[in-house]
Amino acid sequence: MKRFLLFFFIGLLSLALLIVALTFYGLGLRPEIEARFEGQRWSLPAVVYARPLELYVGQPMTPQMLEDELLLSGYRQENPPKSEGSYQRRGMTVQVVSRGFHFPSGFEPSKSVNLTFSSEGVAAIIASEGGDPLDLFRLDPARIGSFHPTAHEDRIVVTYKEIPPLFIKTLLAVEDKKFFSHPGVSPLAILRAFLANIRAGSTVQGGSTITQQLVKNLFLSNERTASRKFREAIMAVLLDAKYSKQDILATYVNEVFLGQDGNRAIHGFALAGQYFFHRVLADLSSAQIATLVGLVKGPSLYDPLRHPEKSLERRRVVLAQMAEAGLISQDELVAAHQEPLLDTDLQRDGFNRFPAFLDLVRRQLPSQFQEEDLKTNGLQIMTTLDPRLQFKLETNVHDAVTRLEKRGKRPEIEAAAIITNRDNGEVLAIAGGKEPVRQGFNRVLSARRQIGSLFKPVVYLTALENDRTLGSPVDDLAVNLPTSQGVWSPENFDHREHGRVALYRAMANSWNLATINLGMDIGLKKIIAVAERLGFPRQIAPLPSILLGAVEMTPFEVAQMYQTMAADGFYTPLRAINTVMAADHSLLSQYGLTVEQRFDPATIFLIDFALQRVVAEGTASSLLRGKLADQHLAGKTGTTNDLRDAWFAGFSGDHLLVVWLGRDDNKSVGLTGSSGALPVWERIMTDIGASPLILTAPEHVIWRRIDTETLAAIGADNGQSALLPFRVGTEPRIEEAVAPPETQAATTPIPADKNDVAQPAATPERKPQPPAIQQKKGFFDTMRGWFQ
Amino acid sequence: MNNEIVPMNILLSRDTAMPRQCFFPFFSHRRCFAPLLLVCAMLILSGCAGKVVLTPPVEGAPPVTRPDEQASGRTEGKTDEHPTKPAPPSRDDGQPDKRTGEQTDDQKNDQAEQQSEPFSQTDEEQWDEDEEAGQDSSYQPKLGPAASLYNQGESYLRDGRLDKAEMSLERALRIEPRNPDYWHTMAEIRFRQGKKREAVQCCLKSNSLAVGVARLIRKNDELIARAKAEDDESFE
Repeated sequence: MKRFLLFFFIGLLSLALLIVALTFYGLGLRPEIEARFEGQRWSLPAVVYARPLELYVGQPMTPQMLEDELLLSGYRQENPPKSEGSYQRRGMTVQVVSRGFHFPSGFEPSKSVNLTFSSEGVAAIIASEGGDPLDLFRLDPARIGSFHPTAHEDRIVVTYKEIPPLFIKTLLAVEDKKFFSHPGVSPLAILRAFLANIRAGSTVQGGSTITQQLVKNLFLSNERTASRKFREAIMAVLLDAKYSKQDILATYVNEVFLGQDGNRAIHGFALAGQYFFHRVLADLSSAQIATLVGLVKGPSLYDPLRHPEKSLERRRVVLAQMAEAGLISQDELVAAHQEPLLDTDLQRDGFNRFPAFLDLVRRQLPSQFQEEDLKTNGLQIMTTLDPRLQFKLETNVHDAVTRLEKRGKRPEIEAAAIITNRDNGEVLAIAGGKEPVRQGFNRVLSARRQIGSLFKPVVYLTALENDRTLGSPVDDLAVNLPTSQGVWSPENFDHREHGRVALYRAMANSWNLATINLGMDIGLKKIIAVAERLGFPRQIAPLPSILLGAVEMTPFEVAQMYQTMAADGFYTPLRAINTVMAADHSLLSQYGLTVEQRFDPATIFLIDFALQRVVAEGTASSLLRGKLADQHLAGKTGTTNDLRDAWFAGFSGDHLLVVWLGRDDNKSVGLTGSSGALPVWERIMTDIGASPLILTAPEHVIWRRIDTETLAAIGADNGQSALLPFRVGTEPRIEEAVAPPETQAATTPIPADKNDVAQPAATPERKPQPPAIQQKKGFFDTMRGWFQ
Repeated sequence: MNNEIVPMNILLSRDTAMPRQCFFPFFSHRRCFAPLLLVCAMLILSGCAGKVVLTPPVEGAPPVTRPDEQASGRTEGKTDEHPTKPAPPSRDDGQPDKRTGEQTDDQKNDQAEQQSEPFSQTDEEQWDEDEEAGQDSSYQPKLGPAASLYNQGESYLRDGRLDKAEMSLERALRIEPRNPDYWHTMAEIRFRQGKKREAVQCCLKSNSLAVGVARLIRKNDELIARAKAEDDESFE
């Protein structure tokens, strides 16, 4: 008996010591657990959204355009569409069930609508329930990317309540049957696994509870040692003791790793549901639940995209377990087996596909948002990206460049392009290179290249501000300028002189000599000041060579300058971000639309008119042979020395597009603005759709006809005349003819310029004319009609 | 309290199938209160006395530093030089207040606008009198595709919810970017947000698009004059 007591006390003592040791061990682990479990559990990357698509009656759009947009936004086809994020297209009608979304202006719940299209565009928008006609309907925006923390983890966090009961029951039936009754660990399961493993001679079964798996994922490395198992068990018990089962389960559902998408790790069932099925958890079928739950056992082994057969086999096993546990009936089991593994046949999600645009977003985020905020705080960034235009831009740039490379046997052509909204300066799409998806050098933002003749409108705009008119005479004559490196004698691209010409023609034809003579006359400082007012942010050295575009700019900077001209002389900073919201959807920053008038509307109207002449009769007249012939587009070609850079910048009624082609090593690319960049520009513009550019003549603009040879104002068309806009007070008077062309001009033969008379009148309708001028029908008359 | 004893349970490999409620029969012996005390000490020390209910992690995220004035953020540091502050009520513009009752300053502001530019009878007939009658403003429904947004923006403006008004108008202008009436309303929003210089610019934009629309040009010019007057008062 004494002996027994001794043993008893020794046993008791060692037990006490063990408890003390464990207490301290547990105490040591406590802060780690609490730190991880309370407050912020995950680093939530900032999520970037495209602009929401506004649908309205009368909108020029086709069912195909809408379908493209829906697919890029992660919508799926469903017959009939019932759950959020589904759509069905039938001929000219599309039914869409939008996903509820927290906009900066408030939450907009999911809505089901029927859209009917006509050849004109959206004909009717009818709410599916109630049949009320709507005049406006806003789709939830596409999730286009996120700023990963270093681990590249991505997830959509859900609360316990958002997890459907069937999902929870399935998960528990497969992974941890006793979850709600065990204390964090299940010794019986461990024992069973242990025995099974001994019998098999290797590890075939794990005895981990969901709590243990969570602990392993959250706190521990992947090593398989006894000490790690021990630590895991202790922590699991502590976790179970401190937090509710629901909490632990929700954390597990959000934490678990379920797949790899490139360098993005798919964590949590909610993101996996979105990734594989384009569905929220509540919309998953039992077969889809089985697929996802089956993934836990081996996320790469049972990946439904990469190993569909293994995934299907695993789904079969899980479905059987579901039936066994009474979660689904025998009939449901049979039906579930029939379901295809993946029902979204079109995996065209736009997520993380637009790295160049995300790069711009990141650069434009104000410094108030630190790197850390982007990676951890779950910010929601609402951008201006138009996913459909972005997709089209990338495809066209890639195809066009590939074709140019093949045709000219010129490899290594690179490209950059940017589309902005003509009016509000929102950046809609950018292509940072010919390979869209490859993340790397973002040429739109980083490639500073000489812009060549794209600079000329700056020179002519300055001239128009300084008492010149579109009809002012300019000498396109040889010029020798002394510079520090000797005498500079530039030439025209065609190596000819064109004599005394009207100012607008010099610009339309991009004549170098005329531009230099005019620019030197006006003064370089004034021209540089105009470039700055147009929005060019850096200093330009006052050298004569800038007149021909020896100024380095990025395509983005070019777009900014042309934007000011396209938007009636109002400067708006090009922006990619509209609003930034916190994780709880409260508004943090709003980048409202701002405008700043930098030029007189009449002057801008004149320069825009001249930019239209570039297309109508100048270096971009090849557009008149294409589908865009009737859109009155405005733009300018640019080519640099030795054909290193080919540019085209231009705008339609709704979009501004800048295209650059060149080589990264700055060697000759063998293309001019007209032969290289313009066809690419045309291709993109045709594909994205160009509305006609209808300029509104401001007050104080009147029209006069001039003879393009003598530059004298005339009353009627004489076969070589042009009708031009003038600021009131600067217009030429008919009787006071300008001096006849100088003798020099006569020596250089002026090429027969068929363009002067332009096209035969496309539309023979007669427009009201200023009474002072008698007129024939002509191209310019038609033009004038557009402006009024 | 039983929960907390679990670690020991596992380590001792006691009856593993035992339900949680009856842990440690071994320790129920009276003589082992010392270990029990230890266990209690452990409990107290580790503070595991109860379950902790957690809020979802996202909601608990510390918010990013909020800029003082949300709407004044600009991408290029081109922030308005004005300290942004709410627009002072336009009482001082000499317009007599015809109405009595609990009118807000905002309404007075609108009213002042309106009195200088009474709208035509046809305009008046168009609007929803049920809701808006008696709260006049320069409000006129438009017929373009963004009309409902414009009307929504106008009603936010009248309620003084300027952020929301701004968002509605920005949407409207995205759909109809060249509608001079929308630009004028945008100017009024900027004015009320205290962004006088931006208000002037929006008026200029409206004017540039309103060629020949005398009514609107007059309204814009008046707003420009008011904005400039107040701008001078505040900053000179």
